Amino acid sequence: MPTDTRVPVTVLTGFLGSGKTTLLNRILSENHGKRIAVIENEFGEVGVDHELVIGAEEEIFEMNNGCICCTVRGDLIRILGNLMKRRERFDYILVESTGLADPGPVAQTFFMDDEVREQLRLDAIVTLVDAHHIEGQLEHAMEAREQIAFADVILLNKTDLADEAQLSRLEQRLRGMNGQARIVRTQQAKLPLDAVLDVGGFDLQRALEVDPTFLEPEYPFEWGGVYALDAGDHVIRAAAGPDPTMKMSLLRLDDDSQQAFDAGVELALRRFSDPSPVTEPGEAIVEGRLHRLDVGADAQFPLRIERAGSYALFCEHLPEEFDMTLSRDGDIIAATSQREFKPDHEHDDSVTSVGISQTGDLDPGRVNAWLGALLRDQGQDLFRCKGVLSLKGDPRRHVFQAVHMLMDATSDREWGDTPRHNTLIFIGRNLDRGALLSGFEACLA
Amino acid sequence: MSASAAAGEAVPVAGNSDGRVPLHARMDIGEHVVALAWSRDGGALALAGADGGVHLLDSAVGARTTRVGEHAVGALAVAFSRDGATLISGGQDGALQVFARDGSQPPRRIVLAQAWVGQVACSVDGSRIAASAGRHVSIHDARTMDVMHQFAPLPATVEALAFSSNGRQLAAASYGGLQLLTPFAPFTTRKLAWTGACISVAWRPDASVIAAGGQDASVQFWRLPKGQHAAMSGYATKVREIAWNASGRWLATGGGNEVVLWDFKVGPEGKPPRSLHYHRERVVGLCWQRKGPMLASIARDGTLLLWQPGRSEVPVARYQLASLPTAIAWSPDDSLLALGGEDGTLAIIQPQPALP
Repeated sequence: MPTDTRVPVTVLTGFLGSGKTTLLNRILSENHGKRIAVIENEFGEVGVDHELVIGAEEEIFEMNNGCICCTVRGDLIRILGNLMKRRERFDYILVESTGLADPGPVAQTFFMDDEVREQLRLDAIVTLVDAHHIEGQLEHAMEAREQIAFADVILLNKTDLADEAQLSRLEQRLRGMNGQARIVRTQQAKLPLDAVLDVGGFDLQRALEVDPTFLEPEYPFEWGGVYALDAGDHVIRAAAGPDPTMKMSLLRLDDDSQQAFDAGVELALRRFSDPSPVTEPGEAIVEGRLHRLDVGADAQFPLRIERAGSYALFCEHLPEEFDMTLSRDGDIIAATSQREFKPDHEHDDSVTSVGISQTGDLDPGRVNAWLGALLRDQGQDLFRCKGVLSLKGDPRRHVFQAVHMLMDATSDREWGDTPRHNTLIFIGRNLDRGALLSGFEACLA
Repeated sequence: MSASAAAGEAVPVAGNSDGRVPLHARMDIGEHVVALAWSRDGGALALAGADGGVHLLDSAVGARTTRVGEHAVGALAVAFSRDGATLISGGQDGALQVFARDGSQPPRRIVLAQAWVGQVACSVDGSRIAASAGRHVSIHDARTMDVMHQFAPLPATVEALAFSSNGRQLAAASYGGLQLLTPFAPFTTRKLAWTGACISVAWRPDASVIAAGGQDASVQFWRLPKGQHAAMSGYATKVREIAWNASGRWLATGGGNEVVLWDFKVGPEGKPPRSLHYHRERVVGLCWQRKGPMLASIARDGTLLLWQPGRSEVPVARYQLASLPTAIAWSPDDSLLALGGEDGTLAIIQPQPALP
């Protein structure tokens, strides 16, 4: 691999009051052996050897390439271009963007502008959040949600102003929005500099060091139970509950292992994005299908089990809310194990992450077409994507990353002894997890 | 005022199979050359440096550059007055600076705005100086430098400024297209709209066409006075390099590793352009002789090529430069080429083309 001699750039985002200035001052005053040029707020001021430049306004250039999300920052192109004429003066650039800036055009400038791309390498987007105020900001400002979504590193600052329960709840929420960012807790923006510099967030060789399998996706069902069922006629009862209908799906499992249940969860995720016609009382439940039960007093739904074995029942709501039971010959059958799932839209965050982690080789043509169409059609809503893919017939790992519609992909080192595996993460607005999963699966060779 | 640069010596730089670079003079201004300009009499050169220096080379003084002024952080633009007696510069300090070439007057500093003064140009009749500071374009009396008019701000920062050769119009390029400004009362403006960002501009010598290079890898042109618009796309990169030859037949453009020539004698609408291949990296500068037929091109691979479009499809001269070129200009008599370098080099060379 040729060494990349381009100057690395970290973009620092975060709302007013999140502590950006404190962090910048700390970085500039610390003895870290790096000469860092800082482009401050609105790109109006540049600090190289404590010199300042005045007056640039945010200028967003839309590009005439038929893609409405392809925008660059004209002011940033200008100021970076001029800074690079003095490149012997520094070896790192830190760009501070304003609290209200959309990170999209800033990031895209590093991929879309020829002169910038030739000389500079976007290392990472670091988002600083005030642990005490971020929840309110997430509710009210799209900018705050986008800054979280674009981040490679989220600095959870001012943690002294929040308790542990608050912090872990907050971390979980941020993780749900952006499953690939590293979250670092700090006070007064005190942190090791390598959390901010040389992160390699856009480096394909370092793509997905974060494994998205630990990602807790938002589930369209709240409960799943495992049942050992014999062949024969069963009945599901569901009384009136908070909603007039409840979605449920019964799936056959390979066995009663945890692994088989996990596979069932993945399958249920896809089933729950299927169309769901209403199932009236008296109509039969069909294994492997999504039902929307018309629940009510004495509502009964027959269920015929052809083969004895392990089955999982996934319900939109908790069974007790609808007094739901599964019985045979009047005997209620209890679940051998059960799990509650984090419900969808706990916070109504329109920005979410979808992680896919699956073994199996992909058909190169199909996966290319799928990703291409995905970025073309949904690029505006996809902030960041990353992935490591196992392509059929290729001994090397295939890696990609994208910002909106701009994708960068390459063949990486060989798999060698590492098990071949596909790992992908999508961060965006209004993502359809089920559609992404089925799209991916259709690419399996 | 200080003479920071070493006296220029005529030392040869790295040559190639075509022979040595026919160097006339070589100097070092000690900072990346952002822009350079010849005086109309050919006796002086002005340079803008990335660290803020404004440098003057005056043959009346000797073969050395003098750092005559300073723009805090960075100088961006230089121009001579028509009579060559005055040097005007603009920089990141938001100011214009005015120097008498013979040092007879103390330098003046005119603060324009809290924005970079990125463009300075002198009108053909010599009566006016135009400058841009961020989104603003101002017209100054060339003698007193007093502001005669300030136009309403453009939609975005002015990326390029050019007077038409008849001096009757001034074109300003920015995101959103071009504006044609009348540089005298009643100072009218006319908008030539384009949905992208125009980052360079060039008038056909007879002012019948104005062309602009785009951030989105395209070239736009408008036929005047009607303003019929046409676009040429398919470039590899954005197009900052754009230049007309003396007759107005050829529009040469960069925007990639090739020099692309549009023939306005037979089109260019509906006609493919000619591509001149030879540079291995992106073209960063193009300059036609003022009267002669030769086009000079420089690229990031450090090559300087001379072309004679219409007579030869291959370069008539090729030189490998010692440093990455950043600025290029023919002397007014077409005999010398001034080249600014990334490393602060000013090379003045006397090309010896092998004519076909």
